[in-house]
Amino acid sequence: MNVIGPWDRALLCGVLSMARPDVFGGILIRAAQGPVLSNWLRQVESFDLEASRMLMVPASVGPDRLQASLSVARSLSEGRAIYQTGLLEEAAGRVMVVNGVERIANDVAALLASGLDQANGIKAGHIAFIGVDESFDGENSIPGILAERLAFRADLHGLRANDLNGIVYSREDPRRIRASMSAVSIDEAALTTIAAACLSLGIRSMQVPIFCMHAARGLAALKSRSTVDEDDIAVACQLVLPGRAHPMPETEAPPPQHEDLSKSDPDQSSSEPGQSETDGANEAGNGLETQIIEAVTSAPIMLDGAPKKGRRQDRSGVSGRSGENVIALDRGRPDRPLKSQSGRGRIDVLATLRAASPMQAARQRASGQNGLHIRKSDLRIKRFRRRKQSSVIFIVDASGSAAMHRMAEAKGAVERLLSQCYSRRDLVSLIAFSGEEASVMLPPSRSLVRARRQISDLAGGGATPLAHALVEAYKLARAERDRGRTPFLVFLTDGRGNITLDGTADRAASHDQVSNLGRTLIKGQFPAVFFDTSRRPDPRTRRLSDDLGAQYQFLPNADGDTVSKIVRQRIGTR
Amino acid sequence: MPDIAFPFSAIVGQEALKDALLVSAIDPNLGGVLAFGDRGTGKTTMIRSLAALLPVQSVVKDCQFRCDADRPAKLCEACQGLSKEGTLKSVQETPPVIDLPLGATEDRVLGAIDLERALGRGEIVFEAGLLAAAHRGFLYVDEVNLLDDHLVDILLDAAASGVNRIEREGLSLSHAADFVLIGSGNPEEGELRPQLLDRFGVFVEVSTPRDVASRVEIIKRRQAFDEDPEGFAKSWKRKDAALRKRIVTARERRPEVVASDEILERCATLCLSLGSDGLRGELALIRTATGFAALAGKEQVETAHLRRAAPLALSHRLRKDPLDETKAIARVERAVEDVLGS
Repeated sequence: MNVIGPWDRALLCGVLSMARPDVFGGILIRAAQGPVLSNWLRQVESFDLEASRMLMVPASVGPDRLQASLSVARSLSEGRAIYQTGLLEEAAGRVMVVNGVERIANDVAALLASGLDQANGIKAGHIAFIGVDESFDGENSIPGILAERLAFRADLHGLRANDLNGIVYSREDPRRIRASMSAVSIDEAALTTIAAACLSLGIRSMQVPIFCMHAARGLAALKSRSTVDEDDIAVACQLVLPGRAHPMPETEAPPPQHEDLSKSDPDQSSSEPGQSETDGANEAGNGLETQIIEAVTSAPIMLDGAPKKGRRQDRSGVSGRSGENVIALDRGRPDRPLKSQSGRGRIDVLATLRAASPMQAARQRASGQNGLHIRKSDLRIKRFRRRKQSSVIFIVDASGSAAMHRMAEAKGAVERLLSQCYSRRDLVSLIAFSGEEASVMLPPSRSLVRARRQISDLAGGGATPLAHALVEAYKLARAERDRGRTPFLVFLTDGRGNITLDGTADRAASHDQVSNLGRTLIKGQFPAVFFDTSRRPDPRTRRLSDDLGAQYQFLPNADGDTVSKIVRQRIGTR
Repeated sequence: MPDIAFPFSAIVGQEALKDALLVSAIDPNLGGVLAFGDRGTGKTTMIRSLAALLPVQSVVKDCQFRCDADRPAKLCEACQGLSKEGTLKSVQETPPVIDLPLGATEDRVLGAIDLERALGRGEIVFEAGLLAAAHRGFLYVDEVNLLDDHLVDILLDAAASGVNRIEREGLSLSHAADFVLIGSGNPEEGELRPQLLDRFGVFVEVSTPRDVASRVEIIKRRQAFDEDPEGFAKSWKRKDAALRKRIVTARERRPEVVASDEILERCATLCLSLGSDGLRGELALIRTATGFAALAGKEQVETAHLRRAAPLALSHRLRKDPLDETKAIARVERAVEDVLGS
């Protein structure tokens, strides 16, 4: 099968997107700013059939800039209201590039998505969207509402300027595709291969196989063929599927395999989603599907949507790359502007104009002067509303003999908290530690469904890496605080760590290290409660809890009900 | 999005969502549809398809409130003026489908003072928002679970009352905003507060088909449509026309459909056995069942209609037990079997 390199893949994505922005939407590309990305963008720009300039938009773009809005500066200088066109409108029929797309806010993503859909009766050329994911490890996920609408995934990480050779494309290529793609046919066997490959990779969205189908036809048109061959399918899948595979958690049924085509009736089987999951492994003879799956899963992957279970947190630094975004969030959502009393605060120009506008005619008449009349009583200041969210972080000891029980009760507590916390919009996460590592099993979430799916009762047994757990907890708590939330740590352990950060199995050294870490990283920084799950109270564990600055609770049975009750009381009283 | 909508009859599977949308089209005051589940199930497509299927409406030309030209008593002030002068012009339009994206401001949703005219000419004129644009059609909110709570409240209030009341910035007015609210979302990204859940008339859990054959069929139809929308729409025209006729007849018939005391009693028993909160569930159940009866051309609500309506009307109104992982829909189906017999 034809496995193509990352540069060729990226170029093909560009060629196809420029040929049919209406069916493909665009590209999500992982790349660092630099000559490789610039080179690629230049080439894509040269494929654009409308030959218009690319519209570069920063990730920090605000929702107001995307839609048409009053241009305050120009309105004031000319004395009449002047609207500026929104970026979505400007982007119609052009290529829109968002750098650092992993940092965009949910509401901006939703507006971009509605621009791509040309919703609400906007009639103009289609936008070809390029989202540049600058994250180093691809761990930040792009809002699904946007990612779902972009057909292609490419990755330029690790490429150097002199790796960039291969097939050269020109504007003629997208032109040929646009002219002849509608005449390219694709047979049932090819569609079956695509549908089956997507299912095996756990991709539920129907949009994805539709993208593969169109991409395969586009590739055939590129080669001036009128039917799709196996190569087209293989390449199309490599352009569309990477990063979309959703690894199924172990607790769930294995990814559904496709069933025997002869016995399935569309109506019947679609109403019984469980049915197909039980039968049939991959028959031999569909080698192409297997090859596609291999090619796709071995490609460098950035994940969109649900993170993989047990994913490691970024180890390079805690405050990390999304700093700017975090600050913007931390200032809260704009609330209704307030009438200025003291003159302090930032003036909300739009609201001020709005307040002044009804009086203009009268004031102009009274003063005999044209132009804008603004009085002190019109002034409005900006207010931000800050919702103090709590982020409850469970740190659960999954080692030793009582591990299974502890995990099950912790899961119960998480679920109870989540089901009782809707209105508060609090988040809950869970770090489990055993063996030689601590990992985030459930990233901060308020979804009961996700908690159920991602927290498994699997206990690692083995050593008790309490020090690792503290470091992991600290990182997560810092990150949450940077997002403007109030972290709250909940420890469930007997406190008998026996392995140090460098992996030495030494109970005494580990104990000292844990005390130290607790005093420096946790105490006084993050509120915490410590549930001691040992059989009988041990003064050393008590001291450890003090080192963490935590409220100590002796709870040998670690029952989830009590845990959730105490946590609720604590976050409620702060 | 192409100008031509994907034919509703050509949509593969998704029976529950189709049911929910059809009932809402027959009875727009049902309270809206909430569709939760996977992305890429074609929810947006389906809503646009349904709107295109519905009979065209007579709308006053250039009226920002989308006044009904055939109902003189309900015209807005401006249109009443035109009507007196005899210069009222009407156009035929398909019902609108308006998207409300997450980033939409309150101004944009409710409408606000028209700044250009206020500043330029000193006139206070209202500039209608998305609620007015959705009048007599559909308002679609993707990711409704991520929308700010106060906006969701505004939407649900308007959807329930059919009126948008504005009291702000020196404006005091109200206009008709009769639309079917359709919310969608992915529960993995956050859940909706139970208070809001309960206010949606019907609930559907959507998922994409898990078998290859249905998926291939969906891709095939999509390909045919994307390459030749007119041709594809033409080949489904007869089926769509038949369905349109059924909807129109059902709309007329619905007010005449009666539910016997026996049926009402069964509704109550069903709701009691599920412990669903409040009266809303019961009302929604009867309304939904009435819609199905009208759609089937019946004069009476029958048990079969209740059975079909129950999962839609009740599954989002059950009290949650955090430790019970059984899906709500399964619980409703079990209760239906117990109360109505299998």
